[in-house]
Amino acid sequence: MFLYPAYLWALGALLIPLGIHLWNKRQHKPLAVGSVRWMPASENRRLNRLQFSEFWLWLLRSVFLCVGVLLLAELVRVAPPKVMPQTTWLMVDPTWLAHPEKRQQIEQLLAKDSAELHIFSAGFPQIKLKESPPERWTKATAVADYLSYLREMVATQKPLPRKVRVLVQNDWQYFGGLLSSWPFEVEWLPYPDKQDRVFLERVEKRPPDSLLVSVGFASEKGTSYQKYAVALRKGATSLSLPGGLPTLNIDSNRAYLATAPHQKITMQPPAKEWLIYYAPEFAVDQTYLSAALRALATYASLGVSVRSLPINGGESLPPTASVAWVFWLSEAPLPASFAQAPALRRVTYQAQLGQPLWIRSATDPLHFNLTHRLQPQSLPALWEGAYLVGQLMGLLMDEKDIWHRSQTPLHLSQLQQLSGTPTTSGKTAAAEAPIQSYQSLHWWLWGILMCLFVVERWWNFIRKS
Amino acid sequence: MTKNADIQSLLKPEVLNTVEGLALLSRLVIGALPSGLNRSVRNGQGMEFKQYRSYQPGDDLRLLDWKMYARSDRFYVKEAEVETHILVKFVLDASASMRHQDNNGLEKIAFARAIIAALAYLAVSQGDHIGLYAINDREVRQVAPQTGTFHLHRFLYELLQIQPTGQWQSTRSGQRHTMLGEQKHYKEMVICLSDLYEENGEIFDLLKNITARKNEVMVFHLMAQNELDLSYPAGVFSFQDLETQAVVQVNPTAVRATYQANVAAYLAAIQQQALDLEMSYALFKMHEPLQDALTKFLLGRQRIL
Repeated sequence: MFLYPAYLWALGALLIPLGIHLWNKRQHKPLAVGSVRWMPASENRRLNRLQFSEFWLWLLRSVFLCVGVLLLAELVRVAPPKVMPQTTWLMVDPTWLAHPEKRQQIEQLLAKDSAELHIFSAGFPQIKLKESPPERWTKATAVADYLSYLREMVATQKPLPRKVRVLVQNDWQYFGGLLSSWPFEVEWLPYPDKQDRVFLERVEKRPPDSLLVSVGFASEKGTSYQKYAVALRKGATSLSLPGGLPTLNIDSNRAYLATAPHQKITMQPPAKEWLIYYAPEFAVDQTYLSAALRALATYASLGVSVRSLPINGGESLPPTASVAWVFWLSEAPLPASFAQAPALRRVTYQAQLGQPLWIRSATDPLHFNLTHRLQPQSLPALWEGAYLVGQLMGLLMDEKDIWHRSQTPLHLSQLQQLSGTPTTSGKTAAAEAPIQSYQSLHWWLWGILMCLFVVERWWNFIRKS
Repeated sequence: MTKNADIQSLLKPEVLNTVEGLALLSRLVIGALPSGLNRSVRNGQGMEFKQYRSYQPGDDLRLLDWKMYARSDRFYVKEAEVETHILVKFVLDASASMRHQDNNGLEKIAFARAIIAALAYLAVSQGDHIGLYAINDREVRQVAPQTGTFHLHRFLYELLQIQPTGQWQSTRSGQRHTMLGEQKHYKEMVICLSDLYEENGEIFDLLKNITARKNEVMVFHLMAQNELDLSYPAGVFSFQDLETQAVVQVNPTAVRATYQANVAAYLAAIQQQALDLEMSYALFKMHEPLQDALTKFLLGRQRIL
C-alpha cells in the first residue's frame, strides 16, 4: 500500500516517454520531393505519423518513472503482526493487585483459560499473581489510557498474543467507545461487572412538578444520551422511566438508578433560558446564533433552553430567575429595564470591526458588546470549524457546568446536526483506524531506481554511438 | 574505373557550383570516354583535299578520280576533310522540382549541370555551337548558341546562375519558346534535361514543336534513386511537393511496392510518348555514371551526321 497515494497522480508522467517514443522519430519539417503524385493518397492521415519506436527503451523508461512514483508515494509492505498462537494475555491495572477483591477476580480469570498476566506499565511485563504486588505501581491507569496502552503494545511487543482480555474499571460512560481494529482479539471485562452500562447523566428539576432525566447508554460502540421528562409527585422517592429503564430513586436532593445505587448524582435546579431578541434585519444572525447556542447547550449538557423573540417595541423584562443571558440583536438600544436587571447578563450589538467578537463593558461587568455580525457572509471565519461555539464557550465561562464535558471543538456538520436535534445528545464515535505495521521499501526502490537509471543511460549511449 | 571513381567523387555541391569545378568535371568525363567516339572531322567530299585512297569494292564509282586513273592506271578515291559542326541546344527544366535531393545530398539540378557541362565541353572541343535555355513559368534564361572556350565559360557561368523555382511554363499561357524555333543553317540537336513532371503535358508540347522541325531531340529524364524506389528510412514522413507545395504523410515502407509500381507505369508511359514523337529517350539515374549521358549524346550526334 501507499503512505501518500496522492502522489500516484504523478503516474501521468508516463505520457512523456510515450509521447517521445511515438513522435520522436517523425520529421517535423516536411521532406521536399520533386513530386508526390505517385504516393498513395490514402496515407494522408495524421495518425499514421504515430509509430512506436524502440519499444524496450520506452518500457525501461516507463518502469523507471513508475519506480520513481512509487518512491514518492512511499510504497510500503503491510506486514501482518506476528501473533503468537494460543496465547492469551490478561491485562490489568497494576494497582489492582493490592486489592484482595480484585485479585480474586483476576485469579478466577487466569484460571479460566490459563492466561498470562500482564500489567499496564512500560514494557507490559508479565507477573505472577502469587508474587507480592510491587509497591512502585501506585498510580491507577486512567480509563482513557487503555487504548493508548494497547496501541503501544501493538507497536512494541513482538510477538503479540492471540487474544487480550482487558480488565477495566466499569466507568463505561467515559469510554466513548472501545471498538477498534486490533491485530488480536480483545475482550473488555468491566469491573465490577454487576454495574450496568446504563447510567444517570443528569437530573434537572423543572417547575412546577417534573424532572428532566438524562440517561446515558454506554457500550463498546460508544456512549449516547437520551433525555426523558417525567412527572414528579410530591414526596415520591421512586419514579418509573419509560423504555424498560431501571427505576429512578430519589434520596433527598440526589437521584440514582436502582441498578446503580452507588452512582448518586445531585439534581440540578431548573434550567435557565438564553433569550435572543432580534430586529428584522438581524433575523439571519439570530438563526445562526440560535443554532450555535443550542449546539453548545446540547453538547455541554447544560440543560439550557434557547428562545428567540422578535423585537416589537414592547419587550418586558423577563424573570431574571430563569433567564441567564439575553442577546439583543438590534441597532436599537437595550431597554432600560433590561439594563438595570440584577444578575442578567446582556449582549448587545455594537459594530467594532477589528475587535474581538465580545468586549466586556468597562462600566457594567454583566454587559458585553457583540462587535461583528454573525452571518457567514459578513465574517466567514466565524463559521470555520467550531470557532463560534468556542467563542460562545469563552463568553459563557461563568456557567459552572460549561467545562465539565470535553472541550473538543465541534465541526460545523456536528453543529448543524446537534442544533437540528436538540433533545438527543451526540454520540461519540467509536471508529478507530485499523492498526497496521508497515515495512518500508524505500531503499529497495532507490536501488532499483539507480539500476534502471544506469541501464537506461548505458542503453542510450550504445544506441547513439 | 579510377576515372569513374574520380568523377563520382566530384559530384558534390562544392564542385558543381563553380565554373572551374564544372570544367574540371567535364574534362574528366570526356577523358574517360572510349577513344574514337568524339571525332569531329571525318573524310568525305569537300573543298579541303586530304588524301588519295585506293578504291575499295563498294565505294561509289562517282567518287573515283578519273584523272588519277589516267595517270597511274589505278583506281583512286579522292578524299577531303569534312567539317561536322552542329548546333547543340540544351533545354533545362528550371522548375522547383529540380531541387529534389537524392539520398547522397545531390540535387537534381546539380546533376543536370554536370551533364550539361560535360556535353558542352565535348561539343565545344569539337567545334560545335552550344546554347542554353532554362525554362520555368517565371522566366526563360538563355545563352545564345556560340562556340569557343570563352563562350563555354560564359555558358557554364550562366548555367550556375539558374535557380529552379516554380513550375514548367504552361502552354496555356500563350508564351511559346520561339528562340528554340530559330532555325540556323547548322544541323541542330536539342537535348532536354528534365524530370518530366508536368501537369498538362506542357513539356511534351514543347518537345513536339521541336521535333516537328526535324531536329534531333534527346530527352534525358533525370530521376533520383530515392525517387525511383522511395528509399527512405523506416517511419512516417511528411513529403512536400516542391512545385505544388502539397503535403502528404506517407510511411515509405508500407507504400513502397505501390509507389514503385506507379513510377514504373509512369516511366513506361513517358518512354512510349517519347517513342511516338520519335525522340531519343534516356533515363538517367543520379547514382549512375555520367559517361552514359555522353555515350548517348555521341551516338545521337553520329545519327545527325
